[in-house]
Amino acid sequence: MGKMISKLFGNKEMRVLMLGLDAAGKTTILYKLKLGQGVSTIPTVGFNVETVTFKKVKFNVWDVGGQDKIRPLWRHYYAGTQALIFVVDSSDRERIEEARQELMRIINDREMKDAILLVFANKNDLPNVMDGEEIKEKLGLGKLKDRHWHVQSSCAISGDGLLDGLTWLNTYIK
Amino acid sequence: MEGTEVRSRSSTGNIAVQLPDSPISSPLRELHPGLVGEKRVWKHQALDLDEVLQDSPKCRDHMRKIEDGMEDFVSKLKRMIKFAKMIQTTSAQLSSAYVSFAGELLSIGHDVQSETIRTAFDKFGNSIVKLAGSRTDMADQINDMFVAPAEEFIKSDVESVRQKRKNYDRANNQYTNALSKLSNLKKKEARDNNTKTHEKQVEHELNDCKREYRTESLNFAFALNDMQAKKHYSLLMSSISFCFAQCDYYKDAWELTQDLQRSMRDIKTVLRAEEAEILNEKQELENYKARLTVTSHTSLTKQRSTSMKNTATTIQGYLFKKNASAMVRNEWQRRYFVVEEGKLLYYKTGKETVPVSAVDLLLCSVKEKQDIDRRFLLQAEDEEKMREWITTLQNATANMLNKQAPARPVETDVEDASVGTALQQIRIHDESNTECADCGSSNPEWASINLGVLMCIECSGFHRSMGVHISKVRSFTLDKWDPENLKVKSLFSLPSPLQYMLQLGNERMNKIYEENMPKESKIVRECEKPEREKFIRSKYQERKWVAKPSVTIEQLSEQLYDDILRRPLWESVKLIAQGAQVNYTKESEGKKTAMHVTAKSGALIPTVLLVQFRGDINATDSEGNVPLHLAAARGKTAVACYFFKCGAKLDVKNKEGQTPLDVAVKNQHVHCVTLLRLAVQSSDELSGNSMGDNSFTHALQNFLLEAPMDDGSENTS
Repeated sequence: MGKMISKLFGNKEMRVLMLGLDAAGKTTILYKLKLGQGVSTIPTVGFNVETVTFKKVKFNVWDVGGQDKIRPLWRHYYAGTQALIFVVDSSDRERIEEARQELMRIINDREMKDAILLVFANKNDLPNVMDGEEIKEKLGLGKLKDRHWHVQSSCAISGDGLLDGLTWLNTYIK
Repeated sequence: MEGTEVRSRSSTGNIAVQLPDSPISSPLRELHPGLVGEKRVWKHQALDLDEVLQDSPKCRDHMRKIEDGMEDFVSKLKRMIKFAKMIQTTSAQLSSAYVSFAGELLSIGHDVQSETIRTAFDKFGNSIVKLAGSRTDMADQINDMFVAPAEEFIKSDVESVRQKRKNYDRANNQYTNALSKLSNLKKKEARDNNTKTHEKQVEHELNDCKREYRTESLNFAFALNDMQAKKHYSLLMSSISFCFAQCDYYKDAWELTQDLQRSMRDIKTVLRAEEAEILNEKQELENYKARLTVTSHTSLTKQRSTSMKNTATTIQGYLFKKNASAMVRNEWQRRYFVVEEGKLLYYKTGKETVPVSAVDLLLCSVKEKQDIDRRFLLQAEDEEKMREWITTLQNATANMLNKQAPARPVETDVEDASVGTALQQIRIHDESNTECADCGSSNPEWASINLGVLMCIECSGFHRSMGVHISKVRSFTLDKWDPENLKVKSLFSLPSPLQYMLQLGNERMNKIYEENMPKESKIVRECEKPEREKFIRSKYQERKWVAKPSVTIEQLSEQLYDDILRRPLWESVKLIAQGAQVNYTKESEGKKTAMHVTAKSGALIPTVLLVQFRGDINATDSEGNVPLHLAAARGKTAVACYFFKCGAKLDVKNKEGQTPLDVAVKNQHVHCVTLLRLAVQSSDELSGNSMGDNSFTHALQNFLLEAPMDDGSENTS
């Protein structure tokens, strides 16, 4: 019913799954988008879900905790996902390979084969960070086939780059 | 006899004189020779056959009356048959109702626990069934004994009387016709021979008719007599049978109830005893209920919630659930919820045995009400209850998370015990690790694996917000502590954060980071977020309370370089906290950094320390060697592996033009060569320079998991 009405009024929806290693900034991004302000977060045990409306598009954003042992649960959230936001701590060079492995595991899943991929290279305000190009390389995005992807440098605290990311998602909405 | 008849006829009227006498009497004599002269009185006969032959109006009237009486009897008999049939059907209905009644009684009896009561139910039920059975028998007997004979009587006996009546009427008509014909002939004046012959003929015919008429009238009268006699005694016989059937039925019933009465008395005694017991219990229960009502509701829940504080993973009870559909008026509906085995079960009415839905708590997060769409929006009766539910739900989720076995191809089996061990080990090793390094909350489960402290989840949030260059946060329960590193064997993948942490810990680190801290600056468990954040940033980012060094930064840095392998790890941390430069290079030793030193000796943990505190893994000495060159030259595979994992450049050439791989080949360190080859190939793969299928990456991962231990010169403690 709700869906029918929103179709009538031209509202569009997108189911977005936001994943990434622990402490990448997923929850901070979610609440920055939702509330427009930086919030202090604690590690997510479980998940958060919020709807964010941007340019008449309703994004249902699912933010699932990134701790090692929660990662096997990510697949439970795959079904129906139209866009994957993969958040990377661009200051964490030590774990960028780990991030790559996790990303590959997600997008190789059959249920995620149609999802578009937005990578937030987050925490770009910190010193000595990897830039978008480096992230792209380290995540092996150049080798992806049949996938729309985009790397967006961001800072969840200031909100820098977040809306640019959503704008990119907007262009793929059906 | 004959004379008498003629006399009486002549006395009644003139016509009789004209009637010819002899032709009538003679055939009668022929027909009933035995009858003549044998006048006897028939006791049971209503009609005198002799009188019938005289055919007097009186007799005719008598016959008609008897006939009417018969018809009357028949119609009454028919009504009786109708009622008898009604008795039959209604008693069949009654019986079947009794049987159904008994059936229910028996089925109730089967569910009863108590043996005595069950047998009693059985007995009553079966008796009622038996009674109904004999009633059915009686009804059947009514049919056999009464209805069937009566119907047969109407069908055959009565019908034959009617038939005889018809015959009698026909003969009477013919006789009357013949009589009138003859008298017409006699009236004519002219009588010739012809007429006389005709007259003779008619007379003859008349005689025949008369004879037939007499026969038929006798038959009819005989049948009427028979009927008159039969109708009463046969009916009475049927009635007697009917009553016998009734008697049998009541006799059966009496016997049955007689038997039943005895057991009824026995059961009554048992029941009295049980009733008393039940009343007793009811009284006690009422007292208890009164006590419950008096005892305040909150104190009860408090008792419960304190007794299961923080540990319960199951709970059940009614909550108010907000209806998902906005169309429904009554938004909040009372529903029954159960939390068990990591599932939230939801029952609509509490009557159904299967829950309406079961939610996997692994996929749930529970929060106090926020203004957002949720799958379930629930309301507890009061604040207390709500807390209890929230805690229990969170416990259940956490419990499931901890149980969740990792199902991943690359990783080796992780035993839950090892995770517990990591936390247990570090707590046993240093008692200060049982409280949050920052706010003092008990049993912290989070750690900063570079700062070497344990903290609570609240504080961990602020550690994370400073960035990984300040603090790298891991959970003891939700992250894996590379358990393979806890075993002595492979030290290849990541260096164990645990080994590193065991050398630091809350007490030592707080001594460094809080040495000059005024007591009032310390935060406590209840502190609000801003206060907490300010404290943590002051402590670790600004290092506000670290003791000021008595020497210059240069000297501090040199100390770090000189003593990195000799000092306990935490002393190096203190130097760094005080401002020692991690990337200090010692001119006199070929412009090496401390990391060159630790790499050369294969000291993994000090290497980790330097990397964690932003040591440059790609720093070159005067020979153009990065630390990896030195590790490769001496076959320090574990350290080399760590450098690779931290993103060290693999293609740096020293002044001899050799990469670390070249150096390893030259020095024939097999494991090192394998590692570096795979590492080089896999980074080519990743950067997209080769069109491989990540096979080198996979090979590298396998190598990291399976390779044997380093050649030994670990020098960490």
